[in-house]
Amino acid sequence: MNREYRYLGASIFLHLALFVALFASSFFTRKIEATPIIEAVLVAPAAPAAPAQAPQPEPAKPEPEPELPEPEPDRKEIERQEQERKQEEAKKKFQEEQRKKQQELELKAEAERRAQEDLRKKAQEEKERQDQLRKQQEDEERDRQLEEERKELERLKKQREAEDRRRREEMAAAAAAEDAARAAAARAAAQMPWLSQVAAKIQRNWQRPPASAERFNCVVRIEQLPGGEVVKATITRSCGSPNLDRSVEAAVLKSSPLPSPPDPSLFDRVINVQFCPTADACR
Amino acid sequence: MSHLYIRFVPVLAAALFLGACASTGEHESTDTPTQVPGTTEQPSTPYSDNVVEGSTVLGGEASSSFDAAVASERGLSTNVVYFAYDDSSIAPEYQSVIEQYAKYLSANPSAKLRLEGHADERGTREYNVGLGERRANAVQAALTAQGASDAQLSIISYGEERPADVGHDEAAWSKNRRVQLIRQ
Amino acid sequence: MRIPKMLAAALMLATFAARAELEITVTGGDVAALPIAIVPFGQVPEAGLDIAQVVHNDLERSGRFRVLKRQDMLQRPVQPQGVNYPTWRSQGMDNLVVGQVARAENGGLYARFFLLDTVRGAQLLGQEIPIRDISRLREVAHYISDQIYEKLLGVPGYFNTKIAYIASSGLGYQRRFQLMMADADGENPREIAASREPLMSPAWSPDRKQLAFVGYERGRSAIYIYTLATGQVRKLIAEPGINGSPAWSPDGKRMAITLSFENNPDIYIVDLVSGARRRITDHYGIDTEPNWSPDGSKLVFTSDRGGRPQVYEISASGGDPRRVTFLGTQNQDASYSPDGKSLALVNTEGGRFRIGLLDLASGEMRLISDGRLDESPSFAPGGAVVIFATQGARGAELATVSVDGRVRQSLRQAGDVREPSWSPLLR
Repeated sequence: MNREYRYLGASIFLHLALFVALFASSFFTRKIEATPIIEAVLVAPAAPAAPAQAPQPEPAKPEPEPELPEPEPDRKEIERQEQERKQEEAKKKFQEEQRKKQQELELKAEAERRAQEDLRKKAQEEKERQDQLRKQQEDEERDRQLEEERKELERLKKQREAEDRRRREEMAAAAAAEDAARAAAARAAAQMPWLSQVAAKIQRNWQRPPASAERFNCVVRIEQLPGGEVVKATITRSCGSPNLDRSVEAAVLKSSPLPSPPDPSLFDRVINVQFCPTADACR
Repeated sequence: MSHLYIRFVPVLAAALFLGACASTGEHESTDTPTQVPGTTEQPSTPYSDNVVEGSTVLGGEASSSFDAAVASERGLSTNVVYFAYDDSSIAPEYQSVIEQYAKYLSANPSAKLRLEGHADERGTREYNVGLGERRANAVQAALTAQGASDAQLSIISYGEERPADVGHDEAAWSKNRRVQLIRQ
Repeated sequence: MRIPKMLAAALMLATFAARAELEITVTGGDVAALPIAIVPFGQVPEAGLDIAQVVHNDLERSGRFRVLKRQDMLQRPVQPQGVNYPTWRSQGMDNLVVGQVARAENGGLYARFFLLDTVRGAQLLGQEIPIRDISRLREVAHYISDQIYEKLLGVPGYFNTKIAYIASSGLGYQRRFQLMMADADGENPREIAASREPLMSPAWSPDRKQLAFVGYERGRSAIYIYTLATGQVRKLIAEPGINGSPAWSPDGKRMAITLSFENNPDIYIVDLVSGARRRITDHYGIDTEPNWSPDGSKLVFTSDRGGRPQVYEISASGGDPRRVTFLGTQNQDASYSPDGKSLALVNTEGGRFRIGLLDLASGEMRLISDGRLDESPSFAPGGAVVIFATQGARGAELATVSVDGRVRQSLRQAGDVREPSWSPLLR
């Protein structure tokens, strides 16, 4: 009965413990999350700083074109025209140069812009990668926890099953033991008259030395042959003094051959004899 | 065999003595010689250094007060007080002895008396020393009550060590439970 | 709870059943004297003393051995090789001693003995003792007794101890008192002191080097101390009146005595080093015969404060005495057993004075002597035996009795002897 209560208590306790563990583990996982943020902090300042570090160059302002008078058609005109033409050429050249310059500048700006774009993209990609990693870790952690929980449940289940099995086995063993005990008791009862004879003979042969202890409790293990002949007497628990030990050993040896049981099937080879001065000293 | 000797010799001696002077009390047989086989017939006086013998004392006394002296010495001639078993009270029959000695001591301030206490062999030895002393103390108290002074008296207890009679019966024991008064 | 308990019990039974080992219990067992046979030693002619006989007497007198009579011996081996164990077993002799007194190759004499366990066929002891002085063969015999006693009982033997006592002879002025000392079996008596005046109450110092006693001199008593090594006698105390009952404290530093100079006999304790004296009892009755408890914390003494002399117990530092004897008309001269559990004393009942053993815990009294005038009990070291004075066929004599009252034996002595005092063990 009690044992069942104990199991119930144990499982409640285990569940509680698990719950607490789970709760505690959430704290734990958050801490794990924090790591990428810290990394991100290291990365993040690079992105906004990029424009500051490389300021977008203003598109180069076209030079103001100088307003030149129309050349004259005579020599003067021609000259003027020549001059005009030359001026025109120079202007064209200049414009061409300006245009080329402008183009170069634009190209350069474009390249820079592209570089900026690349950087931004890279940062974005990094962020995404980090996000994904974090997400993956979170998923893994969740999976792991789920797995653990499942395993614990499995274990509990197995334990419960084992407990049940053991209890069943114990019951069976007890039943068997009871049967055996009943048989043994029946045998012991049948052996009683014989054993009393053995005890009486040993008692008659036991002389306690004078002035020895008044309180002791010792055991001699007798091994005998079927005829009752004592082949071995061993003190398995000392009386506390060599003289008393010798007296109990002598009592056994002097009692050889021990009386035989009326029914040979009741014979047992080994008898343990407990010696005490009074009955209450034996307890 | 020697056991028999010891038992019967004093009895024999007492019987002889009683036959010789029939008037003497039983207790006075203490003063009779206890003969040891093999020794001379000479009476020995076992314990007291100075047991009074009527004739020797009388020789020194003046003839004019002959009767008084005789009476006085007769009183002093009984110099033993006997006691009951494990008891130290002085029986009335010894009052006259106490009186005579008290008179003698008060009349002779320079006289000294030793009181020897004894016990019979029953009881343990050291206890009997105590008992002997208690008996001697009782005699001392009686004497001082009647005029003797403490300075004249000395006490010693021998317990059962110096028996008057070495027998092991009441006849012997009654002779051993005693205080001897010894003039010095 | 009930179910598991039942289960456990069932399992235990099952275990027993499985082991198939029977358990029986034997209680009681007689506390009985140990059976032993001391076979006459094979002795060279010049060894006059019958060692086996001395050992036989020693062990028998202790009351703790039942010694086989010589005429009942079926064989007389002198060494273990010659022992036929079943023969001795059949006579119930669990223990056997065989030995020899022989001459060694170098010409010296030696005694050799073996203690054998006939039940197991085993040797328990085997010793060879060189004999340097043939006149001291008795000591060798007592030594052998001690060895056997200790081996079989687990406590030291006491056979090489001494007794002191008082002897007297002669009558009247011819009476002579002697303080005597002898072996524990009464042999080898020798005079220590003699006097025409009484000598009394010998008491051994715990170191066995001195004897206190009471003597009389010129009409006064005194306590004297005799030193064995020097033969010197010194007067310890001589007050007017009684100086008696000396008893050494277990540590030997103090002495309880009886003095009467303060009017009547009381118990005092004298410091033997400083000479300081302390009065322990103060009563108009006779207080005397003090004896110390083994731990030195208490004294027993005789007092007639209740009318008849009885035994009282008092703290060694004084206080109120407690009466301990109530059986019989009177009880006197008590002394503690070495274990402190009982008192040996002189009990008087129906006009008989006998030695009693009073169990202090239960108040039970056992009379262990049956004389008419027994007195002066003194325990042997170890407490197996009490020596006392009794009126024997030849007059006053000394006797020993085992504390179970079973074995009584008188000691051979000449003259009237009394007041025995058993010496401590020589350490």
